[in-house]
Amino acid sequence: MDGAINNVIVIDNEISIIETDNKIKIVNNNIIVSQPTSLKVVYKSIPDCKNLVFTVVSDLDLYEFYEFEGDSNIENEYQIEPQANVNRYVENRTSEKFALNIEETVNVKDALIRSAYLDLGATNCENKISYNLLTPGGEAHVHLGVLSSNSKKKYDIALNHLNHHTYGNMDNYGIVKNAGSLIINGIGKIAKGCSKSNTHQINKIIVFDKKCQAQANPYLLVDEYDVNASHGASVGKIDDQQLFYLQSRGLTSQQAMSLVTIGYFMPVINYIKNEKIKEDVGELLNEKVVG
Amino acid sequence: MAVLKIKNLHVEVEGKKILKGVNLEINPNEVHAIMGPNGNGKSTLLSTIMGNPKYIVTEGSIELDGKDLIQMSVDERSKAGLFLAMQYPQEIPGVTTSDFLRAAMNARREKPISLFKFIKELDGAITELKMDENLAHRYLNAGFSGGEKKRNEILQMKLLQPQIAMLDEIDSGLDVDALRIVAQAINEMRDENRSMMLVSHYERMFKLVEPTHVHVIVNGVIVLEGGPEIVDKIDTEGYDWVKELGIELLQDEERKPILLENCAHAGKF
Repeated sequence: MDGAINNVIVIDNEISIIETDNKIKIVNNNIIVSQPTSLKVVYKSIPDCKNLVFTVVSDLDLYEFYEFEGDSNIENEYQIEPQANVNRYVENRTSEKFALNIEETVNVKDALIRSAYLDLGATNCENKISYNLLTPGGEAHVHLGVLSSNSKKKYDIALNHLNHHTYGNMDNYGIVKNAGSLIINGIGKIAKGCSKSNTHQINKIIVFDKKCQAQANPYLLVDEYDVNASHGASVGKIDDQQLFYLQSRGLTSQQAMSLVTIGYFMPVINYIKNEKIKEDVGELLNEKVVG
Repeated sequence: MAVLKIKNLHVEVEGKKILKGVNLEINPNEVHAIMGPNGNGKSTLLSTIMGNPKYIVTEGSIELDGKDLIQMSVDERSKAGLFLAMQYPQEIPGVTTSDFLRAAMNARREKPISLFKFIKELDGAITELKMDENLAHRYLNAGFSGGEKKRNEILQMKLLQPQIAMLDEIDSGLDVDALRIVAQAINEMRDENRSMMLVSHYERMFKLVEPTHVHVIVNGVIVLEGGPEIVDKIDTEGYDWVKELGIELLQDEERKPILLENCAHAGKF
């Protein structure tokens, strides 16, 4: 796929199709992707049913943008069927301080999903994201980049290994500034009988000022032998030796801090295939993180 | 034309006195070798000149063309023409080498460098230093081998064209071929408007890049100064002769036999 977006859906009380190549179908609140394509979903306000179900039986580039216009609760389900290869980019663009509660359940069969979440939004949030690896060969990569600036954010991200030979990896990065708070709970769970599974996670938060609060909690809940599991977590300020290095090449302390923090979030860009969106996100990072 | 004058410089790191009265003058077209045993203040001197916040000047002065360097921020020192190739270059994940280099080059220009000119200069330097062609797209020093990091420091020096280049153990971690390439790049940078300060333990470095002046730092002071002949003296005799001058040699750290118990309590040391 060349990164073009072939389908656009807007969720604004009801589900509206703006553009389509007829490779997706919508039945009630179920969005079914039956042939390889790309889809952009924009959330403005949540429909009464509160939940959407994505059934993906084919390769998909999925972009989801939160542009909420009020407090919002959403409970989405994603069924990733065997052999599907899904590349997903989720961004919170909500510009006002609403409360968000997002619960996501991603059920992955013998399929591959790579998901990046970029949250530079002004909202407070409590989000629960679970990837359930249901059958052998199931593989999920998750990358979170979250900025909490004068807001309260909490993310629980779980990789639940529910069968043998499953693979999960997550890298969760956060920046807290302007008296914001951020909690990231990374949970890697391998159930009994799920041998030869791999679960890995890194959680890192950079704190800008003393009034900020941050927690990065890594959990590994492993109930089987013969598995690979690793976790790491850190919370701290920007390394002053990194800043010294950049400043010694002529960058001001402001420029050096911006470069380090943008670098913190930049890897999410690798999940975006659409050039226009990639460019926009690069600019957004410069504006939100530097500004 | 940058002239660096250091007078009676005293420096502390985390409350520990490292430099105890260093005097030094660096003029254009000079290459100064700073030698001495480990832990006696060589790197501290270079880092202090560059402005590393870990190093606190407690007494003395550093002047660049008559201006008080100690009052200048790190980036102002860089823009004034100073450069430090670090012993342990920092890794900055997420920031590509090319984005960083462009930002650094633009920091000292009124108009930003054009993309075409930048790529041409960068590609030229990468080829000359026989570095990885993908370097520009890789994150700054992240996952680089020790030798790659050192070459990347030299690459930055070539692109930034400093007036006073300080190189801290640039030869450590380099194999023989890489050392030759790096030494050649350093020699090509020598000219009448530029000066250099080199810290190294090895004679071979100063055979490849011959200094005009040699200083030996022991226990935070310069105990001997002269020309390249001092390099040979140290190569054959080590530093034991220093004791004849009535100066105590500082060890990097207290040596102790290694016991398993020590490892278990390593956190206390």
